[in-house]
Amino acid sequence: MKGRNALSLLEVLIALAIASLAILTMVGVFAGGLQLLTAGKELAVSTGVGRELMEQMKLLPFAEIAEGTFDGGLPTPPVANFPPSPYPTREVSGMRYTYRVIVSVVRPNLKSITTEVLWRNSKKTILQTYVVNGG
Amino acid sequence: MALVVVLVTALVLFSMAKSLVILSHGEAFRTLRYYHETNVHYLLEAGVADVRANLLLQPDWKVGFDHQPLTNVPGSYTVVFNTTGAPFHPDESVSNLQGTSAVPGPRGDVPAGCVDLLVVARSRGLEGRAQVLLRRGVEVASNDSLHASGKIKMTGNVTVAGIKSAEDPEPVPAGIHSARSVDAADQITWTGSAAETASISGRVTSASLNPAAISLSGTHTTGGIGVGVSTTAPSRPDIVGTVASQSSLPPPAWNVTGITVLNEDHYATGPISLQGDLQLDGGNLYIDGDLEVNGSISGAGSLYVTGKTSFKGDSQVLSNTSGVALFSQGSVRLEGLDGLEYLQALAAGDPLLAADLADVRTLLDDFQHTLQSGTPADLLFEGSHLDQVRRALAGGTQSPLTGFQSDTLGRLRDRVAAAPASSTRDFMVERVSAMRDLFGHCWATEQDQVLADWLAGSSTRGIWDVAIDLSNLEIGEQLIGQQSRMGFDRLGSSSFHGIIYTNGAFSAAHHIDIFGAVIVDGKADQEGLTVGAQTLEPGDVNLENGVDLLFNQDLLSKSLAPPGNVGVTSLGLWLEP
Repeated sequence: MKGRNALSLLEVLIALAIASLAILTMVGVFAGGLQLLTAGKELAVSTGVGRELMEQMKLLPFAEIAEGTFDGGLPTPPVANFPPSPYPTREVSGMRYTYRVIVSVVRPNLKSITTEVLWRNSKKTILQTYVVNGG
Repeated sequence: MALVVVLVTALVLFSMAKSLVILSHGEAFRTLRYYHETNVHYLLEAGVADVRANLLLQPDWKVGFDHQPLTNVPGSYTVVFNTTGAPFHPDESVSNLQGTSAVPGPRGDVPAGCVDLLVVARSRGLEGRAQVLLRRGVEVASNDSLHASGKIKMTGNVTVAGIKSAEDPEPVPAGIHSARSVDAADQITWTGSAAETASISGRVTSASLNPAAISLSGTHTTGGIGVGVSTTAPSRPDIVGTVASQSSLPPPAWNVTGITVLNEDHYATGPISLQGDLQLDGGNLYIDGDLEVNGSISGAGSLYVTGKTSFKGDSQVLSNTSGVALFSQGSVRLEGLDGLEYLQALAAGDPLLAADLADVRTLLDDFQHTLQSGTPADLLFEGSHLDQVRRALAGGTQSPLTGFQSDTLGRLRDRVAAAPASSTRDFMVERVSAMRDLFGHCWATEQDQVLADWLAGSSTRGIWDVAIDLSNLEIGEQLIGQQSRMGFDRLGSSSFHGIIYTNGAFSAAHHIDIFGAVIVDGKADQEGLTVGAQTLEPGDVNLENGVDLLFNQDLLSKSLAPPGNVGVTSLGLWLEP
């Protein structure tokens, strides 16, 4: 009677194996999920800080939007206050976001502004638009 | 048994894991969508800018764009001009920039000199549309009576309404806009007691995408509110350069405590502080430094100030050729006085003054009520009820309204002048005198001069009498359009007539009427403004305690646009999945 009620070694081993697999999978899933949530939050913040600089630049007179590449990571110093603040970097919740601004002349009365926001060395968001002289 | 327990536990853990995966993926998709929506937003703006750039060079340009990409981001924008007339596709644009009469379009008639532009942008499965009305010669968002690059904070009673122009006082919606795109709450706010309110006749919009960017609970906003709305920023005049270019002009002969009259352009180095009045008779004033005027400002001309500007008292500056009254590189502060409370305090201790004040209130209410009761043709003739009320208010050669004596405002002015000396007393004597002038008697031989002065913006003396005696419907309609500024409640208010443009912060407080528009285009290199316990950053706006902004649409439209330019007059953006 005693032997029949006791767990067999095989049963225990199978249970342990399943439990280990489940726990390992859970740890992986939780880690991945948290990573995804963090990445999502950082993407949202980087988009927001990119918009912030973009709108500041759009407010400038056409002539003050200087042609060239301005890398906040080097950092390239502003030319006559361009790019405006918050270039070169913006810190949100302990994370440093670095700006890179590229301005090119599309036509004499039209300029392209690209704002790249870089963080964690390799991640970045890019926004681009045009501004017209007189607008 | 152990196997069963482990399997059940594993099932529970699996369910939790699945929930986490769904949650995190959902969140990731939402943020990714936000990024792509932002991209589409800027693609739409790029499309509008590209069309404007082409139209500026070639007004008859109708080539359009077919999936025009940008170099550094995914996506494209498309603009299709209809060149054949009806039938229209809903996404087509119609250019009538060089037309002389309205033409039909997919969204209704397109006025002459306008382009009904529709830009479609697509990126990563998202599609957005921007409908824009371009009009030649205009480059500001014409329905924004208040355009700020920073936050807008309103406190207490605030009214924002609009008219088409001083000559055509047809009501128009008057909106307010904050171009601050930071993803944060409270970019436009109003706070007040239960007895106070804010009333805004146009649309209230913020460039921020934050759903809580606009907080206007308890206010009346008939035009609705919108977040994530983009409008084209007004053009930015070079104030420092303009002032520097005029440095060879002669300095004015200041009359620090009396009236300084400027009938030609002058340049001065600040800080300038005037306790007396400033009258611009067609001259512009260029000041390198700060300007403070504690008296009144009147006349026609423009003020260019490289520093801060502060006005107390009345500031009725009418625009000249540029159409703008005040350009201030630094912050602008308008401070009024609560003159009505002062009058009521005087009345409490002076029964005769109290009787005159009560009569003035009754007569002004009667005047306003009468104006609303008929057309100008019914009201404007000598001896009319309106004329009798006018005589009771400010005198005349014939009988006033039955039950009232003639010249009630004149008596009120004299009683106020007899009160103990104070700056508020002086202010109220001026205000009552100004209102008496407005309703005052005008001899037939003076009518031409009164009319000329009024048209030049230098005086309102006797203009109601002229309008009534001559049955001049044109003048009458203009005066009726401004009637809200003639009410009893406005008797103690200061007013600013004109467009205000600043690169700093802007604050108006304590019973101020602004007739024009306010553009606050903050520059980071400018100092902010401290108002009470709060600090305003460049671009921020503070309106508190009885500010009335009466938007003059035409004045704004004419103000900042070089002739022949093509500007955005209204802009709506929307995204579709």
